[in-house]
Amino acid sequence: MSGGRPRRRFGGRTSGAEDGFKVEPRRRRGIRARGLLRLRVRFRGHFVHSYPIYWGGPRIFPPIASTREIERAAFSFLLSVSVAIVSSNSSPSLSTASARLFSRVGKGFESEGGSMGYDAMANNASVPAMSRDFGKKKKANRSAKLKQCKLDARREQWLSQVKNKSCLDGSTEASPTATISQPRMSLPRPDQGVLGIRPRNMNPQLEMEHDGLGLRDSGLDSPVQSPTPGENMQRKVCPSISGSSGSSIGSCSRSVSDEEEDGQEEEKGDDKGGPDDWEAIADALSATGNHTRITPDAEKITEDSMMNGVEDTRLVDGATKPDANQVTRRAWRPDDAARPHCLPNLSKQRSFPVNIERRLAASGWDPRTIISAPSSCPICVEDFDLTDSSFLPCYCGFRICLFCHKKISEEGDGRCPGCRKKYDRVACTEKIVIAAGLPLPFRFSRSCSMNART
Amino acid sequence: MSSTNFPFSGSAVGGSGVRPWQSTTSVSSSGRRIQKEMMELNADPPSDCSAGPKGDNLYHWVSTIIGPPGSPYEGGIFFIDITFPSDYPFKPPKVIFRTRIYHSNVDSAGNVSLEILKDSWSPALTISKVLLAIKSMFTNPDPYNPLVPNIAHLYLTDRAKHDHIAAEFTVRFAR
Repeated sequence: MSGGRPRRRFGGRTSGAEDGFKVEPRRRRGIRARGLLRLRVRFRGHFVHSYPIYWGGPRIFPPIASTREIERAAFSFLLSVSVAIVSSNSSPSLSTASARLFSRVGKGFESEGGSMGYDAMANNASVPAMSRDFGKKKKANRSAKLKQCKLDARREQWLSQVKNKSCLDGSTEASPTATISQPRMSLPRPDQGVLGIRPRNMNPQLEMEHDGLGLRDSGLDSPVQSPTPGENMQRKVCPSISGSSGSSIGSCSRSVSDEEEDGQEEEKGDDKGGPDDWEAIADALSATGNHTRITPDAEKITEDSMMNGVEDTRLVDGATKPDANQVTRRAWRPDDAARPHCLPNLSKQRSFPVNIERRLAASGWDPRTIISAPSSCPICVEDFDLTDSSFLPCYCGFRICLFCHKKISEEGDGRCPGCRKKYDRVACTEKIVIAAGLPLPFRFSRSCSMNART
Repeated sequence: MSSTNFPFSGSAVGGSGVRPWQSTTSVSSSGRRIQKEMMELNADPPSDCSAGPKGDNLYHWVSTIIGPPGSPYEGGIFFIDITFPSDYPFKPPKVIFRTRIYHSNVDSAGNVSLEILKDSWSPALTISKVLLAIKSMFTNPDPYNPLVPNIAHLYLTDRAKHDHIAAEFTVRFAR
């Protein structure tokens, strides 16, 4: 399934003190044009990923700047490809920040597992393949190592499988429906805990906001699962091939509410500083979560094009078992005329940069405004305060703050940075005139500094 | 499936650019200023140039300039180290060529004689303007204030030969 690609690479723990992500540059010497810089991503000391930063040609890739920026970019990258990181049982020792992060990434793992199970299903669910997956998963859970997944490569693969499968839908549809006679509300059976892949919604921020839901879900989880404080980070991932039991109820109702949240997020999420990666998450969500939802929402309809037997199962389930949260239980039949044939993820991906721009604009931060705005000193980039904005040191109109003016006149050559003319006393008298209009403490300190300068 | 292109290197870095954000850890006024210039460069890089910090240190940048077409340096990629002094906007940055170049204003150690990097530096100048000046230095050398008098002499007496040697240097060292 993973091809020849080095999908998961684990490194040794460097030191136990590390907590959270660490991105460290690793320069390669001797390579001039390409691959000048490599970055290593570590999470709590574990080597997660290494990738090159291309200096390349100019304007191809703007160079990555500071470590924080790299870290940030790497974090969004990790989220967007849903790098799976499962932590050990040491979660009680987590600080809150890392716990948040951790729960985020934990979701990523789940979704990966979901898509894994889904892959297996799309391959017509051969049992050996499934058990292999579970063996892997159990191992990952037990050894609690960091896990990494390049979701998009997988998604490609998965999409192609879905595409191939869409013509076979009639046949595969039949097999899951065979299992729906099982009682739905039966609480997790042990075998389901181990075997059942629950396709789950993956939206970390929303998950965090819905702790109650998360807890309810974990209540529906298997008893095999070890009860740790960070339980909603360590969810079992269960295949819904084994049927449509309680877990699928949970995920169904969850997916509805989450989707509503998602809509709200799309409207108002811009002014929040925190959920800046929701678009990437929604991207991944559209790839992994679409087998959990059925809504008539026009935007989500595209996602429904990728539905298959799982939804059909739920469709029948919903008919037999009414759910309060359930809005509409409707799935696209393969012969449905309104069933769209486009793939959902592409539009999401295309809209990604646009949303970045929108978010930047909404947060009131645009690099150009800072650069060109006269509200900050062009020399030291500090914001002008009241005195600074009324301070006109040179006739050329080049404004700088008082601090920089003092520094230039005392330590520098005393020339205006804009026109290179000497600052003269006229400007100083002008300053005094302006200062006269100010409250007394201001005037006092200003005139003092003025005397010292002139 | 077995593709090794990571989505980060493709989409996040290349496509829409790295999302810059304001640092909450403002070190100093020079650091702030350099960060601002970095964002400015990321947002609107000058043509055929790129610049950015080498690693963690904000005060050590590396820059590349592509030799402008029409000049003997056409097609060459010139790496330039830029070092910012701690009182940066008030003192000029130090610019050193890491790629050898046959130029009357750049010596064999890579030092550049550029007026705006010395006496006529102004705090209002930015790195992108400096890069622009270096680019214009490629097309219009200043043989009257040379750093390497031989090259300047050759430039003044035998321009064709000078251009030929410069193109040879470009092919040898800058590609």
